[in-house]
Amino acid sequence: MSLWLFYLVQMAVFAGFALSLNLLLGYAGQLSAGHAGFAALGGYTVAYLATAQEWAFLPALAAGAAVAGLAGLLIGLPALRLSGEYLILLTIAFTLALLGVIATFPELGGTLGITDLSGLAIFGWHLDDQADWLVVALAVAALTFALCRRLGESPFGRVLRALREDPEATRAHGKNVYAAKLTVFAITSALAGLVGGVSTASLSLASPGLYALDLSMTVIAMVILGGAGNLWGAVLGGALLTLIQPLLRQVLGLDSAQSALAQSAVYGTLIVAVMLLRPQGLLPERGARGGKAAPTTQPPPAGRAPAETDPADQALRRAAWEEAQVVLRTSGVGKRFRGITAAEGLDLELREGTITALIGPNGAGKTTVFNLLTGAIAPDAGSVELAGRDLVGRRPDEIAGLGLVRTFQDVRLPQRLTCLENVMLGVQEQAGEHVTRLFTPGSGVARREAEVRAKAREWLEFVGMAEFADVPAGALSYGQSKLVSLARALATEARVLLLDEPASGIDTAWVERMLELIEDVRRQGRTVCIVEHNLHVVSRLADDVYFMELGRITAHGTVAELTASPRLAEAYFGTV
Amino acid sequence: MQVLAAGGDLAQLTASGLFHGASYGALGAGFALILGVTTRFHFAYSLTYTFTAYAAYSLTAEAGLPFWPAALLGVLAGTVLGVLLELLVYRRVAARSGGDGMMPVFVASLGVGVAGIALLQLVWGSQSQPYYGPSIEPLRAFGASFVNLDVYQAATSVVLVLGLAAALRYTGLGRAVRATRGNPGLAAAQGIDVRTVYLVCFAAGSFIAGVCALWYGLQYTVDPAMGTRPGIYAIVVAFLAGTSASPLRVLLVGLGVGLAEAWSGLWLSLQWTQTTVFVLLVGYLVIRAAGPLLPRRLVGKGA
Repeated sequence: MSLWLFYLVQMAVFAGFALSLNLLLGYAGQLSAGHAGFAALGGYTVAYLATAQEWAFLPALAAGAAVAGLAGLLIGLPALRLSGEYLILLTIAFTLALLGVIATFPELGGTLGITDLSGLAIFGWHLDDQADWLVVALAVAALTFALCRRLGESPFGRVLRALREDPEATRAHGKNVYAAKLTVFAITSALAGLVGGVSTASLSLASPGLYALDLSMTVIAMVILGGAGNLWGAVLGGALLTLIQPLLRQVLGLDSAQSALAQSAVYGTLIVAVMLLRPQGLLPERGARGGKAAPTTQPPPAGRAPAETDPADQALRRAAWEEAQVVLRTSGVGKRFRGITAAEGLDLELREGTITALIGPNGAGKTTVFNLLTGAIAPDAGSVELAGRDLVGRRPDEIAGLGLVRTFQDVRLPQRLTCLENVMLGVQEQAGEHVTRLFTPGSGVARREAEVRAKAREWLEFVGMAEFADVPAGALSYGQSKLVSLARALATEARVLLLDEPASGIDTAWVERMLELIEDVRRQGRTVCIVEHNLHVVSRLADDVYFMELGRITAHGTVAELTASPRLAEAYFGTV
Repeated sequence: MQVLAAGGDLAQLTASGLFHGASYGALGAGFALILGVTTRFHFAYSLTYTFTAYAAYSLTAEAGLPFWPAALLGVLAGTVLGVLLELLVYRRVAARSGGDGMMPVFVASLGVGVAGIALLQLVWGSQSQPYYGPSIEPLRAFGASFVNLDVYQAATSVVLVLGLAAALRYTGLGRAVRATRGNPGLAAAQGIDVRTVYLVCFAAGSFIAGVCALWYGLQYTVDPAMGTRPGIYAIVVAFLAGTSASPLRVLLVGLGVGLAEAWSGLWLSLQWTQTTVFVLLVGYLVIRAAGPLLPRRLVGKGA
């Protein structure tokens, strides 16, 4: 009986490990092999404080979680600025170095570890047998579940799920991706330390062997098997894989050494089998289960009859352009990549409530201009001012927050988020994106979330995609996804929108719809800059046009003026 | 390792660092070839390493083959294992995941590694196996003492790296490998069979790992955990050098890591020298993270 109680404790412990790793791996898409190291930090802290320093169990446990969380923060600071493989690499190296070092301290029991951990109590409740530890382990697993759920299913979690698929697009819509990754990594490291502390205390033992890298692998296997991005999957994966060892021992009659090996073989094989046959795991992520089928692939009906370009109307608009205030101004902006000039001496003005077009042959540097303006690339020279504020040197998310937002030529909607969630991502100043506010009663997270939802619905309605609200972005046609990406950009309420080829690659029917929407946006008083190849689109929309060649602006004026230039007509327009 | 424990003087530590470093460099070059060209984060590199040593050991000790044929067959077996992993696991996992599949391939590789090492132990047991080959003779030079196997091992590592560098530079296949590393899409468009190139990289990388493993087994023992540290060092050295760096550069970085690790023994106790590679890695990441260089993929395309 006590043996099965022991395995129940282990199931709860591993559910806790798997839950915390799932928040990191499943939601944020960051793979850490450091769970063993963080568990060791938590376990050793508890064991050392409770024995040598005679701390009570709960404060020692809290200290263990704090130490692990701090270590996670320090590791994350460099690793999370870089691509995913660096986090894997650093967490492996950290775990191996930590275990090597721990064994050198006589205070920590050397290679044997701390073995005299006993007599722990919580407020007079003595934790003597496995039944007591089952209660503690279940409570900690439940707490971990609640924390991970609160974080994962919140606006903060939405940011994590977005950055998992597309960090650049997430940043471009005003989210501080690095801070979100660092926060979730520190929290999950602390949770690993917390669970490690409970595991150590329940075994009355902290030893280097308990926390070998195999522990990290086991937890990764649990998350992958259960289903990355599904918290119940982590519980299921944790429980199932914990049960493999007793089953091997009881059913196959293997001794403990053999069963441990057979267990590793089964874990490893299961990981490979899952990755090959069912990468989503036993319980797939919500929303990734196919979601709702897309209701229709037809373009939404245009609001009114397609308007032809009226020369009188154009003249009126140009007059308005002359009067309009400059919102965004660049002067002398330049960028070189390894000696190749991507942009040089760019002087641009975008005027309030007008549409400016950036045209020119492929490779002229038009998208590079968007990257330079939005901080995706830092200019080497020149200044970018938005309503008097200098943007150079600011992060992309800061620039988006200041009111300059771009869309991408290749759309870039996180595929596993629904259309509504994608648009909600655009809304700025969400209380629920701040972890502290998620756990502060009365901070208005729920109320703000309802507002964000309503606002996102309005923008989806504006682009005519309201009935697709619950459809995963991955199920949309190209034209539909361009509309949703426009809604996402509009939802930022940015004063200035940079639209990268909004009408390219989509059916004619969709083009008409898109053009009307952009005209509506201008009518709302927002400033728009488009990169576009289609001269029909440019002449219908643009109040002002810049022509770019080889990273430089070589002509500026109205469409009529530019198309009248014999040189440009030959070099560019003639080929359209 | 016993060299390190025995002596504290600079000459001894330098010799030890260079011997270890040569092997880190060769292993790193093999890993970098695989990761740089195929983008597969082949964590089970240490499995092919360990498997080679076991295969050669069992062909000698259990099947009774003479040392050299057994060693050759062992290395071939490890090479085949590496190729099979790409063919049967990584290629399929990457195809299922879409994108570059770095993370799914790494996870699958982790699974292969864990399962493979456990299976090795179920077959051959968990204890260390003594592996005998060329007779061991003590040598002494420049104030350091070492054995002939140290020299053979380091020389083999250098020859492997030079051979790889020459093959990449001067053979048609090598040029195909470099073209694939630069731009797989473009390479495919030029008629290069990218899938075959991947297999070649796995074969070459696994071959190098296998040869290093044999020397390790001869110098110490053949045991299930023998691949853990060399595997991690290979990965770290490859990243420090840059995964698209030339094999020669990877070798130099390997030697540097070996020396840094050995010299840290002047100030640190043996266990603490293990942290050297972690410290180097952290230092490198801090510099990379703080550096103004943005990942190239942020640069927009098309316009």
